[in-house]
Amino acid sequence: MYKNYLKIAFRNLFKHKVFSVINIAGVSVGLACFLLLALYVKDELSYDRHHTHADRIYRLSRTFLSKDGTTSLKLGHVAPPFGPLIKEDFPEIEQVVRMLETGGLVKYGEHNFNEDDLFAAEPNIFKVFSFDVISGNADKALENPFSIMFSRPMAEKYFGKENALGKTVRLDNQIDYTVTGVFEPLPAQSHFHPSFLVSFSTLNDPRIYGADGLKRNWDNNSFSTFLLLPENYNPEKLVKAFPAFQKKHIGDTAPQYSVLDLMKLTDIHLYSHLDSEIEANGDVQYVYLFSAIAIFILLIACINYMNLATAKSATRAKEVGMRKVIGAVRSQLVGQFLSESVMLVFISVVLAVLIVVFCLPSLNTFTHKELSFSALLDPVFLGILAFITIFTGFVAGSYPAFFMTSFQPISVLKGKIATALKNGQLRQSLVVVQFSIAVILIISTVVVYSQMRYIRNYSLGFSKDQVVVLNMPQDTTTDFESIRQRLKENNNIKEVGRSSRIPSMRLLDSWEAYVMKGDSFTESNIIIKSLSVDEDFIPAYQIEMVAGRNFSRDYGTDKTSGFILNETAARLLGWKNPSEAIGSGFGYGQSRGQIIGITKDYHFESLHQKIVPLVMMYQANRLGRVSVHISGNNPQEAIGHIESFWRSKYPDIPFSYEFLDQRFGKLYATEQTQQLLFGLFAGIAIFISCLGLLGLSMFMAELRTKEIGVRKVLGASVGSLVALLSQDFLKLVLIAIVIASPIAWYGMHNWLQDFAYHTEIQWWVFVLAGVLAIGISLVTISFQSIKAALMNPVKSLRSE
Amino acid sequence: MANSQQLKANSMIKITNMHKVFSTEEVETTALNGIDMEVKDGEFVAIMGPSGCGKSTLLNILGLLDNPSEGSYEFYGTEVAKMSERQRAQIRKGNIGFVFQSFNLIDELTVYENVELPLLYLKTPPAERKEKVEAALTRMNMMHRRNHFPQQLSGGQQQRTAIARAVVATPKTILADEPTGNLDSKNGEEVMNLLSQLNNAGTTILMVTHSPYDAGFAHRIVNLFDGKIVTEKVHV
Repeated sequence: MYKNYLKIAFRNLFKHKVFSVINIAGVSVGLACFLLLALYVKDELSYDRHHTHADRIYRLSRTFLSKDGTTSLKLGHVAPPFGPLIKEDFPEIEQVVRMLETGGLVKYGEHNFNEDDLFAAEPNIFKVFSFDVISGNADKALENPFSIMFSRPMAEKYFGKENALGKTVRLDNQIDYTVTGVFEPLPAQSHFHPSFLVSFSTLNDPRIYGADGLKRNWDNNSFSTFLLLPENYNPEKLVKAFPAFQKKHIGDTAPQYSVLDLMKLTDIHLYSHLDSEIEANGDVQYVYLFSAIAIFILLIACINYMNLATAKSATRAKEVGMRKVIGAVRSQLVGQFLSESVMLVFISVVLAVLIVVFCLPSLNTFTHKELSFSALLDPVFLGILAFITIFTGFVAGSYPAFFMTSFQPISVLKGKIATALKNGQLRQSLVVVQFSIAVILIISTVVVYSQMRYIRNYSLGFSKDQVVVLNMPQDTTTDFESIRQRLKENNNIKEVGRSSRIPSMRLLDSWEAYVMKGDSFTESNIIIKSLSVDEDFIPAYQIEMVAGRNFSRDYGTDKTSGFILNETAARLLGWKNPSEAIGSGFGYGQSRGQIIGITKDYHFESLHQKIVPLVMMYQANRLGRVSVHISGNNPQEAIGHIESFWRSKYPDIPFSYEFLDQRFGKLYATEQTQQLLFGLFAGIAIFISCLGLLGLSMFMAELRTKEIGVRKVLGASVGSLVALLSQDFLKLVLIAIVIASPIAWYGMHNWLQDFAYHTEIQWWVFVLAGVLAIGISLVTISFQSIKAALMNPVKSLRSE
Repeated sequence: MANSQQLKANSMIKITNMHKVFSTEEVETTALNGIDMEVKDGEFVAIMGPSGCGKSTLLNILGLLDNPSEGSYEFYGTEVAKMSERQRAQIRKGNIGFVFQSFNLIDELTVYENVELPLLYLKTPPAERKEKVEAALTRMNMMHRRNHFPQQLSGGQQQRTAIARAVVATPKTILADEPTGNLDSKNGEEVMNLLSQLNNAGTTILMVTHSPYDAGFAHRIVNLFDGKIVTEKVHV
């Protein structure tokens, strides 16, 4: 019997070739998208799970509170004394490991590179995290100061095929280190990726950090600190004990401004968005978003399949009727339709897998991930795939199976079924659902696109174009004036400014501001972020002064007691008019002096952040970043000049630079990817929906052949027939637009709230989405309706 | 469940005061209006009458494709008038073969596979199935076309295939709804001869027809008008 079913199924497949192609293409494209997105989501969910103790490792974080109790800063790093003291006070904790991320110039013979992912780590890092140490002794490798371990790719880069162990490398042209081991790099699904591990004891050297700082510096929160808790240990217990712990070691007031917290290692990638992180993390929102899109697309594809299968089943009414007459019972017919449907989905699954294999490299480029097809071979995944095949096949096949077989055999043979199918309300609702999803995706794409354009064109309050940023070696503070002169010898170099941070970075240094009340400085209760700049920073970025003046070489006191605020800081400190602030006494941290200028507000950080109160001051030892404003006429020559200067001044240090506008571009990289993915999947959703529409319009035209014939005989024009055949579908698309618009508005309105500065959703977005949806569906339907309308009525009437 | 072995009564079909009313939201149409009729085993009965008199409705009910609205229907002594579609399907299988005016062959199956279908639903073992299908095809002179699809056949060949399908499970009864309606006179004659041969071999045949010539092959002609039997004529 099954042979008979299969035979019928295959013959049907070939008999209705267009239908079959539409049907299989829809399901396989939909399924392929689903699989690709599932791979992406699975990858996002697998971060940091490869460590043996992953479920027991917790990261220590520190939050700073303002006087009013609000959070002013939330850091994924803490001060160096915390680690050992926690181990001492809570002996039940199995391991506490500290790491300090840094970078530097690594030199071995002729090889000389600036490296970023250099981590100073305590020796027990291998007891907490699961590294694969391929040479050297993991227990001893990080014990002695000035030991360094290389990741395998780095060892190959520096030493080629030679044995790395025992080699000597020099860091920052200063200190020699001995290579004590080589480790396999951590997988891509890790929230940190060290290329080098340096022994933590090295930091005791005063040239590097100093033993005293490690013990007493409570203010330098740059150490990643991880705790390995015992089995079945409740981390809440520790968190509750932290305030007392801080009181004991820092002072009674510590818990009022500093809060310690723990986060599970495996939660970091998706849930941690602190002001300082080792690497940019993912976001669980995207996991939800992409899961939703994946399910949406699969749903659209299933709906399509279901609609087309139902429609097509009408052409098989005679077969169903005859089988019933001969003696088939309902369950046998249902079985036949279902097995046929599952078989078709199975073919689509095979095709979908091929599409996935083909598209995976592009998706990887797109998302900067290393998704591998082998993840699909995981038993859970295969199970899901089998489930989808059976489920989709069953759901899609069930309607025709149960619907068709519910008729009395004689009414099926009489063609009553076709009439019933013409007014399929379920089918119409499914088309509405399908198009609603497509319209939601179109609207979302347009909104994401306009927000991106808004960001690109948004005035940041300074000029980010034609600014080249350089990282200067540490010894530049003393003779920078001569460097500036040398750089400015070329006419294409306009300004050379220095600062502690450059725009596009986060502002992480903050302190309370003091203002003059009467004769003395009093606390303002306002936390202000700070930035160290020199006299040329403001001109280099063309930042506008609204009152007072910039730092000047003409006033010796500027360097010690001059402060420049932004408008927001001046307003929060109570000056209604910026010019009132000029000359007022001002204190910040330990420094006291007076306000010499107020700048117009400018967006130092990304547009995700609101403008915060900011003070700029001159701290000569913190001016490591150089911003060069170059002429737009000849940027190549300007960079050539900087490079040749660099090579003569620092022959040992590789030259590298970055354009500031590119740095800003990277701040929105996630949104850019999102924009592309949205666009892509909206396109696919529309494509599949249109395939469905095409199939349905073919079917409807077929069902109405007689009607069209009669109308033509009675004198109907081609135009009026096309309109007749199209209007039913257009009605559905219109309903879909009405349903989709508020949903899309709500979703995108929430998405925009993530940006402190965002565009508004304009009315025309909905009109555009509507026009697009109608236009595309009209074109799709017209293929079939024009063909039907042009058919010779004699032929169509005879075939009836 | 009843099957051909259990159905032994001499009177194959006995219907008493049968009514069939089709109703839509607005109109009620009485298709059959108090029919009494008896068909004996091995009879060849032709049902005639003008369009819309209820011939096909009667045949559908006789063939257990539909239920009457009222009245009694005994099929080999079993009351079937109130049976569900599932129960009727069980009785249909193997007991009744159908031949339609428009053949109703399944386009996606070959001649052989179409004829084989009833046996598949009867779960006949493969070897026996092959034997029976080939016997039926040989009898209908369709063996040489066994691998053709219906579209590749002439009308006469299609109807012969349909008859082969109707007889393959050796049913006691064949119901034919205008079996020659779509055929030319030569093919029509051939089909009628085949039905006669089947009847001579013991199969009961009930046939709806417009053609007095075809009706001439039957033992008895029942004339229907407005849902009632108006005359019955017995051939000798």
